[in-house]
Amino acid sequence: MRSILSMLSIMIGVAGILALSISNEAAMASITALFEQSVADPI
Amino acid sequence: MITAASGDNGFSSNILRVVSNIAGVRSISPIVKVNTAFPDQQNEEALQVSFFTTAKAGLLLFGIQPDLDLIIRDYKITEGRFLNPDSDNLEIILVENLANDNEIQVGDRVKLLSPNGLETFKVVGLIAREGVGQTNNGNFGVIHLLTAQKVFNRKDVFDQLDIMLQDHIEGNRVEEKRLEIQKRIGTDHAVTYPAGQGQRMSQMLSNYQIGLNFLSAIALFVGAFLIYNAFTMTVVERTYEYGMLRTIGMSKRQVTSTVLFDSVLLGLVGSLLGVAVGILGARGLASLMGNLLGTDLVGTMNVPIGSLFMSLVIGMGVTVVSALLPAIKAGKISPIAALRIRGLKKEGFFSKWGGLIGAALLLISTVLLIWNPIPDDPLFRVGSMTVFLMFTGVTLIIPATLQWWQKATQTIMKKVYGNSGLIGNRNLERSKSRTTLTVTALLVGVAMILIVRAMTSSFAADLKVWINAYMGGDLYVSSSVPLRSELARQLGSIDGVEAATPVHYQSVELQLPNNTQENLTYMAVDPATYTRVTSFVFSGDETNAEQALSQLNAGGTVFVSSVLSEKFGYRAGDQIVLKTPSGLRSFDIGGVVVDFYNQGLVITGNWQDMRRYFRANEVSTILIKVQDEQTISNVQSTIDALYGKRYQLSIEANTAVKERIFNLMDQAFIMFDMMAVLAVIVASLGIVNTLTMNVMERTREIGMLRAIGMTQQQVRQMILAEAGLMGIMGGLLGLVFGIFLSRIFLFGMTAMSGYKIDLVIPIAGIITGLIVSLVISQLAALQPAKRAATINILDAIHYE
Repeated sequence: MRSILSMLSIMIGVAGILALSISNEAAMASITALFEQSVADPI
Repeated sequence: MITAASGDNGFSSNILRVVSNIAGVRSISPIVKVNTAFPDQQNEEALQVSFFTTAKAGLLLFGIQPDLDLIIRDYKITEGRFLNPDSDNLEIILVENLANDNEIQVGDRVKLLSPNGLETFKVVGLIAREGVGQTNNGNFGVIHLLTAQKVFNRKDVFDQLDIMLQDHIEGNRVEEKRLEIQKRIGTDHAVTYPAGQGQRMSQMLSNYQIGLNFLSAIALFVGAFLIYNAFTMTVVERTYEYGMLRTIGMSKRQVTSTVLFDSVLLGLVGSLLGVAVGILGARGLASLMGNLLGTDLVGTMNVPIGSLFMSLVIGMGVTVVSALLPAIKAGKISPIAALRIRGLKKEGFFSKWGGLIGAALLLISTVLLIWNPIPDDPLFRVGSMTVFLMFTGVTLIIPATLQWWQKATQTIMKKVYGNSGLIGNRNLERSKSRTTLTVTALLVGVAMILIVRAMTSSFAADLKVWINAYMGGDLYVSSSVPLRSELARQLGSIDGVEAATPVHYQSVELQLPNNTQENLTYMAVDPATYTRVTSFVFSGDETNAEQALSQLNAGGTVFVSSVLSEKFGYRAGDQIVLKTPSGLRSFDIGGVVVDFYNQGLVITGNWQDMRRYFRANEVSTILIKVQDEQTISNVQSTIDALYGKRYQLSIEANTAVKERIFNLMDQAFIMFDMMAVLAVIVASLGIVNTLTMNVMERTREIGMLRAIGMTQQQVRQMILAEAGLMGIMGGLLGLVFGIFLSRIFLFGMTAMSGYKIDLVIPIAGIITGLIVSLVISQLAALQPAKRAATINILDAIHYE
C-alpha cells in the first residue's frame, strides 16, 4: 500500500507537470488563433 | 515579400519589372488588397476588435494573378473551382464559412460595394477557412488582379509582391538575395521574409508566453517538490525494514541497491501513469473550458513531445535523486540503530534550524525584491532566484511555525470539531515533514489562483483605463470605402452632436539610433476636436497636459505610448525619427500617453503632419460625442439616414464595442484561470495522498483510540480537523506567497517586454483562494477520514 501511495505521488507530480505544459501550449495556440482571427489585415 | 515602406496606398507596378529582372527570382505574385462589404452588411459591427487593436469589419479581397499566386499560396478548394487565370471577368472565390453565413452558393451572383457603386461578382468557388482562408477572420475572398485594379480604382498599383526564389538559393544566400532586391528597389519599399508578417503577432503574444512560462516553471518546481517529499518520506519510513534486512545478513551495497532499484521501478511506473493521467486531465479540462468559451480547445491541443519527455525525466530523475541519499544512509546505518529508529526522536538539522534558515531566506528574498539590483535584466535572473529563495524559505518555515499555528487555531478547532478537533490540531506536529508537504502543495495552488487573478486584474485595470479614455466618444463611424475628413465636419453639425473628430491609422517605420527599424502605427488626430470628444491619458504626473496639447497642435510633435517609452527610453522633450515618403524626419516628443493600440506600438500625431509628411488624407474612423447620452440612438439613426447610404457608413455605439473588447479580454484571460485550476487539482490530489498515508501509518494508533472509546464520528472529526488546519495554513501562506510572486512576476514582465503595469490586489482572488483552500482540504480529507473511522479495531491493533 505504501508503494502504491508513493507511486501515486510520483504520478500526481508528473501528471501535474505534463497537464500544465499541455494546457500552456493549448492556451498559447488558442490565444494565437484569437489574434490571428481578429487582426484584420496581416501586415 | 515586398510592401511599401510607409503609407497604405501601395506602390507602382513598375517595381514588378525591376524585380523580375533580378537573377534567382523564380516567380512573383502581385497582390492588390481591397476592403469592401456586402451592401446589406455595412451597418453591422463597424469594428472588429482584438485584444490590442481594432480593425474595420467587412470583406477583405486579395486581387491576385491566379496562376502566379497558386505557386506561392495554398488554397484548399472545397467546392467549385479556382479563378480562371486568363480572364479578368467578375469572378470571386469566398471562404466557405462566410458563404454559408450569407447563404451564398457556388454559381450565385453577389453584390459588393466599390468606390463606383455596387458591383456584381459570380461566385465560382469556395475555399476552406484554413491557411490563407483565415485572413481577416475568414471574411475574405479572392478576385482577379486586373478586376481588383479596375473595379476598386487601383490601376497600376500593387500592395504587395510575394517573391519565390529559385530552389538552389538557400541559407545565407536568401538573405544576400533579400539585400540585393532591397538595394535595387530602394528604401521606399520594404523587403521582408514572410515570417516577418508574424512579427507584430509575436510581439503581442510574447507577454502571454512570458506569463504562461512563469506559471509552468512554478508547476515544474512544485511537481518535482511533491515527488521528492513523498519519496523521501517513504524511504525514511522503510529504514526499519532496511535495518531488518541488514540484521539477517544483507550487505550495505545490497541494501543501497535495493532502495535504488525500488525507486527506479516506482519512478518508472509512476511516471508512465502520470503521463497518461496528465494527458487525460489536460484534455478533460480543455473540454470543460472549451464548453464554457464555446470554442473547441481539445482540437487545438497537442501533446508536445518535449514536455512529455521532460515530465518523464523529471518523474524518474527526482524519484531516484530523492532515494539516493536515504539509500546511502540506509546502507551505512548499523542494523541495531536502524531497528531502533522508530523510537528515536532525534531532531534533524532542518527541524532544528529550518525555521531560522527559512526566515533568513524570506528576508533576503524580500530585500532583493524591494532593492531589485538589476531592474532591466532581460533574463530575469534575480527574479527567478527570489522566487526560489522565497519558496524554500516558506517551506522551511512551515514546520518551525507549526506550534504557533496550532495555538492560534485551538479555539476555532474546538468550536468546529469539538475535543477531537484539539487532538487533530496537535496531531500535525507528529509528522512535520508530511504536514509541510501537504501545506506546501495547497500553498502553491492558492498562490497560483492569486497570481492569475492579480495578473489579469492588473492587466485589465490598465486596459480599461486606456479603453475608456481612448473610446471616449459615444459613437464610432467608419466605412468599408475611404472617407474624407470633411465628413467629420458635416457630422459635427448634426443636431445633438457635441463634437466629431477624424482619426487615421497609418503604418510607419521608426528609425532607432542603432540603425534598426521598428514598425509602428501613427495615429493622426485633430487635437482641437479630439480633446472635445475624448482625452489623452498621460503617463506620469509631471506632464503639463495643456502645454503638451498645444505642442501637438502646432505640429512637428508626437505623443509616444508608455510601451514605447519603457522599451526605448523615450521621454517628453526627446526626439523620435520616423521614415516618411520624403526621407527620415525628426519629431519632438510632447508627452508619453497610455495607449495600447497595436500592443502599444503607436505614436499619436497631428492630422496636418500626416498630410504633410505621409501624404495621406483619409479617415479611418470618426469619433462622435453626443450632447445628451439619452439621444445616442437618435443621433445614430440621423447619421445613418443622412449619410449612411451615401458613404456606406457603419455606425456603432461605443458601449457595444467596449463590451466586445471586454468579452475578448475575458476569453484571453480564462486560459490563465485554467492553469490555476490545474494547480488546485494537483494540490488537492496531493492532500488526499498525504492524508491517506497519515491515516495508514497511524492505523494502530487509531485502533487504540477506538478501543478506549473514541467514536467513529470523533475519529472523522479528528482527521477533518487536521486537514482543516492544513487548509488554513496553506490558504494564508499561499495568499502572502501569491501576492509577493505577483509582484515579482510583474517586475519580470516589465524587464522582459518593456510593458509596465501596476499591481492591483485582487480581492476576488484572495477570497476565492481562501475558500478553495478550506473547501479542498475538507473534501480531500473525506475519504481518509472515512477510512480512519471505519477501521476494524482488532485488525488495527495487530497492524504493523
